[in-house]
Amino acid sequence: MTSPHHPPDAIPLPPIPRPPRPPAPRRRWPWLVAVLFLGGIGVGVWWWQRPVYPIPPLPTGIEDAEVRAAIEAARKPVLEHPQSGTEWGNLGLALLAHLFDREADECFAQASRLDPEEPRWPYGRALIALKRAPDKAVGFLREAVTAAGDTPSEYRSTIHLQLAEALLDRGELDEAEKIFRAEQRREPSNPRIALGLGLIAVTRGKDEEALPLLTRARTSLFARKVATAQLARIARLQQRKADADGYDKELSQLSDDPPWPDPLLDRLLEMQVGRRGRERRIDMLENQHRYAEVLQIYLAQIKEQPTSKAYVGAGVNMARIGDRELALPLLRKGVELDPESAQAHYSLALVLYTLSEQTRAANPEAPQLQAWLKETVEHARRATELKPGHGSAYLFWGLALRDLGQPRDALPPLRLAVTCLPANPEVQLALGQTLLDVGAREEAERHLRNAAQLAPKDPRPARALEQLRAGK
Amino acid sequence: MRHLHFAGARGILFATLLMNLCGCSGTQAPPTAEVHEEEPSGPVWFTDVTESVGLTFVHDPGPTGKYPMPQSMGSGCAFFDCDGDGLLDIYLLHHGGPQGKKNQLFRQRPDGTFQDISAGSGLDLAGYCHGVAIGDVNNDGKPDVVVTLYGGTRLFLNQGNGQFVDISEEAGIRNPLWAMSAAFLDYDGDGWLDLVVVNYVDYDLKRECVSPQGVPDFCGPSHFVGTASKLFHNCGTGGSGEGKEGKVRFDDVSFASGIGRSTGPGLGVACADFSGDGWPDIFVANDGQPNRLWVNQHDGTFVDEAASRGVAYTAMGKAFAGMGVAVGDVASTGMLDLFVTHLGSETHTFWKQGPRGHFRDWTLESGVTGSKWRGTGFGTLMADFNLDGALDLAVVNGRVFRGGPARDSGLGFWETYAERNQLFTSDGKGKFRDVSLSNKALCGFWNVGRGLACGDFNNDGAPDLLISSIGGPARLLKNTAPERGHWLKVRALESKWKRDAVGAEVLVRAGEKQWLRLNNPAESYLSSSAPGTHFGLGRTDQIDSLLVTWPDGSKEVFPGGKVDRVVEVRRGEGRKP
Repeated sequence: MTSPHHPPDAIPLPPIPRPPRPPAPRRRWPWLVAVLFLGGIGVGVWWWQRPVYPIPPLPTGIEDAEVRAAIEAARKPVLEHPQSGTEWGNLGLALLAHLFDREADECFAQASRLDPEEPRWPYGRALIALKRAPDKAVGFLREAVTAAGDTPSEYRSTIHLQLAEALLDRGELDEAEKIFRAEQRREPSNPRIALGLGLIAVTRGKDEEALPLLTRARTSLFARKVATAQLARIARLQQRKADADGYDKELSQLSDDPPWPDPLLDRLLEMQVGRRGRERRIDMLENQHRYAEVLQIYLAQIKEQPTSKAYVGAGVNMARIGDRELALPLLRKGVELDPESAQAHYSLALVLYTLSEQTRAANPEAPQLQAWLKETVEHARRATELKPGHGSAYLFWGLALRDLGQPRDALPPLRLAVTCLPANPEVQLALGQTLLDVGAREEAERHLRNAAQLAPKDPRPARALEQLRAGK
Repeated sequence: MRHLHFAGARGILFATLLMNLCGCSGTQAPPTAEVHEEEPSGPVWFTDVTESVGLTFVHDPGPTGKYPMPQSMGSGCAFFDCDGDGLLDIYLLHHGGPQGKKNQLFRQRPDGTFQDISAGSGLDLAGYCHGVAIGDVNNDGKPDVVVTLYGGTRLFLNQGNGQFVDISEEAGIRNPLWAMSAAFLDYDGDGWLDLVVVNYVDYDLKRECVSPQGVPDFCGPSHFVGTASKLFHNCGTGGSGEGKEGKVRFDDVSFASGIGRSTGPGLGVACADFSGDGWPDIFVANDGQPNRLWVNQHDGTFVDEAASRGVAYTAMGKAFAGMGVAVGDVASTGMLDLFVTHLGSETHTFWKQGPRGHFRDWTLESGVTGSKWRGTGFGTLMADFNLDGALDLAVVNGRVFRGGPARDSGLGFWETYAERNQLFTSDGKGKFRDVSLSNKALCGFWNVGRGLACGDFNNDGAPDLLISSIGGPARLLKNTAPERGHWLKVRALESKWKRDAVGAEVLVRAGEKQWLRLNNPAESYLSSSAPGTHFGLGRTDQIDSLLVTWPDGSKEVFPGGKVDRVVEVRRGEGRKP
């Protein structure tokens, strides 16, 4: 019961409703951390596994502007598309064409990773390794063979045969033979395969088996000397002396076999620019006697870089196309720019002497003759001072003295010319004729006979010998 | 046609572009020196005694920086007894040019030390010197000296007591070409030593070569044409062999003999009867071109039969860069084999003889390809260093283009060309094993090795080595191989001519065993070893006989006997076999 004295507040009050408690906050941060963590891992994995492209190499200190431009031009697409194996490979080719083989190898390696089905890139590495680290070449060649597959292509056969030859070099005959045989089924008449199989037979001591293969290989321009040398060895071993002697003689006259056709090397040659490219073009044009075109290259070079070499090159080719008098100032300028150049002095002497001969044929009393001959003596002698073994310079020195009416003075340089170039018929003839001039008949006869022997179709030694016999 | 069109250029490209260096070169290569280091195992065969014996020689290569190619080809060295006191003396060449250091002649004192007696000796020549050959040209019993140079060849006549006089001009030795190795032989059997000089390329000093980066470097041989070797016929002095009646006179028979009709970039030379007909032939190692084997036709002429006798090319038909030449019977077959050093990117070639007069590329079988490292080899020779009865092989290395692995060598300008030398031991059956790591006195330092000669300078019966290098000190390595076997030294002498029978072959027989050695000091590269023949005999302490094949092909047998001694055999004092 409740007392009246109790205040009314004693009446129990209903409980004051409390404001509802806010719901306990949900713990989201672990999720956030987890998300961030996972995101981080994802980014990390992506970062870790993202394709990383190295900076394409650019050799430092390239002085040749053309070469630099060519390499930079090939490098630009790599910077723009570093994921492109083709662009890396092309840069490798541009570098290799200009002999930057270390940098080229880096590019080919990257190209091989990005473009594993392209055989050219491991093949490029193999070509470098064949010279730099032969032990590694076979690995790259195998890689190239795999990439090349069995689809006929420009490179397929070359790569297979290169691998077979590399194995042959290492003495791995069985595997080499297997590859050669497989290729032989595709190309039964390929002389390169015949040579490879022939060399395998020789190495195994099966000379009889090697004979027809080497004989077939010998028909190829690219294997003539190598195959003939093996045939010579077998002939000597089989005591076929006449055959062996014949092969030896033939070999002494054969020039070296050129390397087998190779599409990659041919491509590299086409890409060469700058000094080496120019020199290659000049060599090629000179071999084809296209002297007017060579002259233009040198004249253009004189405008860009007026060196002694350019002037001498222009002068020599000017003379070759018949403008000898125009050649003289060019050659004189060449000598002036580099007075220590034996080649410059010799070239000037040569053209002067040729000009004097030509002029004398038309007019033996021509006033310039003596001066030209004296100048020939001066420059030819200087060439021999700068290069003591310069046989041709001794020759023109002696010839000019002889033409100046000093045959006795001509003898020492002509004897030195013979010492340097004993197998040169012109040299033997010049000495023989000069000895005849001074009455040294016995010695003259020896050298004239040498000249006749060396150039049996040249009538001059025979005429001089007749003159000698006639006692004139 | 496209293929033909590119053929020549492709060859040059393939030869040049795939190397890290010189655009002007063709045969030189790169890299080499891939070292597979292992702990050294095996005995130490040599001790460097250069300093302790007073051999104070540092090669003068001439001023560096202009890269004249001859500078990179080095200078050679020689062991010979210049004064007839029975002790080997040493001659070392410089390449400093006319204003550079003069060549040095060191006389051995009885206590084994060396004294520089160059000044006033007549051999104190300054020039671009390359090679040295030793032979008695006037049969007076005193060894004379030939020095080859860039642009010349000089003959010095021994006056006795270490004095020499230059008789090149009056003797008819004219050779303005770039001369490298030289050797004496009596090719016509007239008793007078003839001289063959191997010439290199028609080099033009103005030719500049650069690396792809444009850095100047030495040129290689591929852009120069080779030149013809020289053969000089010794006409004798007109007397009975005393050498006092008249003057020494040589005829240049290069053309008439056939040798001068072919050109090539020759570097090394060895003379012996390689064809088996009893007449001396001439082997020339060419740099990047097929080698020549000039086979004696018995009428004063020679024909190159290198291809048909199997030594022009490797088995795979390659003409590697031939430098030094070593000759020896590595498998005791009674026939001389040939070893030629090449570039580091190539493999040195071993040509084994058999049947007589025919050679086969034995490189793979020989084991020399399994070396600890590769190098560009120059001087090389075979000798039995541990006297176990089997010929061993030494090679000195040094690049000709930049890019070598040497560091902190102290060689300055030459460091980038430096490599380490190599030593191989053999099993007596033609199989070699690299023992370079154990032999630091020969192989444990960087050098631009060129010359290498062999001789027992301290007369203890074991062959010692002399090394020359570009821009570095000469080194004299004393043979200190432990547990050495027995030995025999044989001097085969021409009684009539009072000199060593250069070109004689000496065969020592003991029971079932036999050892063949060639008596010709000219081998290796630009160098001349001690005269005579040296045999390691292993445990053989008694020999049955000595069979000497004299340079004219005649044979005589001499009695055997005890070993560990020097035997002198004279022509005419033996019996017919």
